[in-house]
Amino acid sequence: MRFSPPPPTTLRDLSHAIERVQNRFAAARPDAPDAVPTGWPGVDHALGGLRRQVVHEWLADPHPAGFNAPLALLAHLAAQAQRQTDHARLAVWIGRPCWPHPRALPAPLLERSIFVDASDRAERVWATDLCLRSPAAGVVIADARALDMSSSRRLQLAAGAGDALALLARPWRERHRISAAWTRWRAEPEPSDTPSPRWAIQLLRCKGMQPDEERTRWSVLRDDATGDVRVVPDAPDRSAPTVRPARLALA
Amino acid sequence: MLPIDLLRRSDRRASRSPDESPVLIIDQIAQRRVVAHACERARAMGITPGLALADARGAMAPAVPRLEDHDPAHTESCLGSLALWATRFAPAAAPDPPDGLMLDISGCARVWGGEANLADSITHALLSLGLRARVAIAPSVGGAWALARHSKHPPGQHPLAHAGNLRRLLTPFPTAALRLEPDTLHDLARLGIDRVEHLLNLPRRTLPARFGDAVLLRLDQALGEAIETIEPARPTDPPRAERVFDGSTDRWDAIERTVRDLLDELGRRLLAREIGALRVSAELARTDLGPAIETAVLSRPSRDARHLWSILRPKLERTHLGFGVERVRLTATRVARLHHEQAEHWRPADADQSRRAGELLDTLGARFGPTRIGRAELIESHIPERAARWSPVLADHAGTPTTVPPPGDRPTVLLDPPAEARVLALTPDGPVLSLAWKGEQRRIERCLGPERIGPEWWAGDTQGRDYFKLQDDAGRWIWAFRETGSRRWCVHGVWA
Repeated sequence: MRFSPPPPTTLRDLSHAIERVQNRFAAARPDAPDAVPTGWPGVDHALGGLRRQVVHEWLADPHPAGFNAPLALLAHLAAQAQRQTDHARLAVWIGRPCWPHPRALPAPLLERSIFVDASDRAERVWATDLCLRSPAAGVVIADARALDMSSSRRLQLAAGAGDALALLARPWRERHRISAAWTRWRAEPEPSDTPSPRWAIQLLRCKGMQPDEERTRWSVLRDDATGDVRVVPDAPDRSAPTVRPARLALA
Repeated sequence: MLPIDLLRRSDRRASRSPDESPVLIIDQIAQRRVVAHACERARAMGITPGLALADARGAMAPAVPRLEDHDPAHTESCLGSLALWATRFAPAAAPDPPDGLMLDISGCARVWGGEANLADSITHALLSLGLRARVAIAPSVGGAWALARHSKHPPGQHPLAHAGNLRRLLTPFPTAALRLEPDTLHDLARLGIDRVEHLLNLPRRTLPARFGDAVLLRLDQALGEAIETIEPARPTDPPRAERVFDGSTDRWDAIERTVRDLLDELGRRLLAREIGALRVSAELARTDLGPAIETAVLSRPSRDARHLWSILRPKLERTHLGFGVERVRLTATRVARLHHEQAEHWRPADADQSRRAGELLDTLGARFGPTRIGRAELIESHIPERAARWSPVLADHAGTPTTVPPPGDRPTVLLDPPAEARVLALTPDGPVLSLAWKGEQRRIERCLGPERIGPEWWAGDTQGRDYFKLQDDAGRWIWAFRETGSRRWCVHGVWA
């Protein structure tokens, strides 16, 4: 059978299709609308902030005190989200392991914070789903231990229906479980020579991007006076584009 | 007396131990704090209402009075409920602020075996509530008012007036018994008119010209020569919507439809009275079982049928319908003022936001119960575990943060209670070298501190704490303290 080249229209269709696929992940680009600025220049430059309406998973090593979410980082992101929406909407903390010490939260955030004591997984997923869909919630921080794929997808859909920043905390040992989260992050403590607690955060996955192990790590430290978390000032400049668009393998 | 009695009564209901110290109820007039009411013990010490608080304190020394704030609104609302309670004695009862009740007992005395018995019954019934009362019966409202307050009858006897002796009983009373304005009383006193009889001796025609219409009117009302009626208190029924089925039904869709219709109807009733429901109970009358009552509790008043349904629905779905439901009744058992809203194209975001937040909290509360949804309140305390408190969202929220000390450097997770740990240090007060906690030995790289937090001796603490901020070899920061007395080490928090 003689090989015939495809007609030019087909080729144009193909390029359009490629463009569409690439634009599907437009949200991951710096010009993404309604993203919450993290206050970390490298991250903001690469992702344009953390997008609302999608799920962001934070994986942290289990702490000897039990499973503890990276609460300093989550509190910082919650405060950032609240600053963006003129303080009106609620921040909901679901599950006792996700309840920070109230004194560690900035006052405006604490005033709008609601703490939900949901115990088992079904309750946590139900409450998270409800809060994500509610227009009253600006940011939802949930303990997402032992989340299975269908629940994860359900939460992703719920996040799409509402307008909240969804932050789910999971233990590091669950990193191999599949999930529908838009981004996955790892947070681990890092030894520091200053009295401020310091973490290394790593972007493990972001839809529409291919994170590069070397260029998706940042060091952040907590400013104990304000509770804000910022990028370590003396860290090497990583503000250059750190992730590149996904390479599309065409069959 | 009434505010004092009400105070004692609320003490008893809160099962607080009876307080022996004299009680003063204090009113704030401009910048002065003035005694509004005083108990008998204080009166025996010479305290009279109107005295400045500082003078009263001086007169009562060395006794220390218990001070309470004057709250006329509370007393008045108590009088309102007392008037409803008093309808057991007469069909028409009205509160008579600041401290009276007025009952129209026309035709009732026979039922109670005479007026004296009726007055006795009322006195005893009030006494069983802890309220001391003086009861008088007269053919006119003004006459009864005057007799109850100014009659010199011994305790246990009640002044009973009838049309024949009312004038004779009233004549020796001071003019204050006529319910006149303080200014008028002052004017009368300046002319030497102290008693009712002085007024009666003056030519009747001259009274309005000299003292205004009020004096003659009050005099006639007291003597029963001018008509005066009372405005009886009427109980307000809670808003209610009800439907009776033709026959009993156990079909869930029929009940759902009915409840939703009734919620609409209830919403219209609430709207008409400009109130919203804080608690709605749904009663399903079942043929073979007792009625099933499900209650929805809300965080803020609402009359939105869709929202109320979203809270009632999960409860009703779990209800056992038995052989069928004959009747559905919805009652708004607690209501609060909810103002009408202007329909606007651009609504203020705040109002919308607070309504939505209320709906979210109600839905969460309906599933988890009100105690598992909380806010955090900061408290004025240096002890970390007492510095904040969880309070249920659905309870009345004060919303005003008190003045609290600045947070300082506090960990993001606090262990409650603190976990005991073993610590190795080179010298007793030297830097910590290692920390054994939860069966794990960890090397400590850095040790910052101590930050001394003193004991709250007024709360019964005996030991202070020296807090240290420790960093282990993995880079985690741990907040641990050593008790100053026992030198026991505990881990209290982590920077997670």
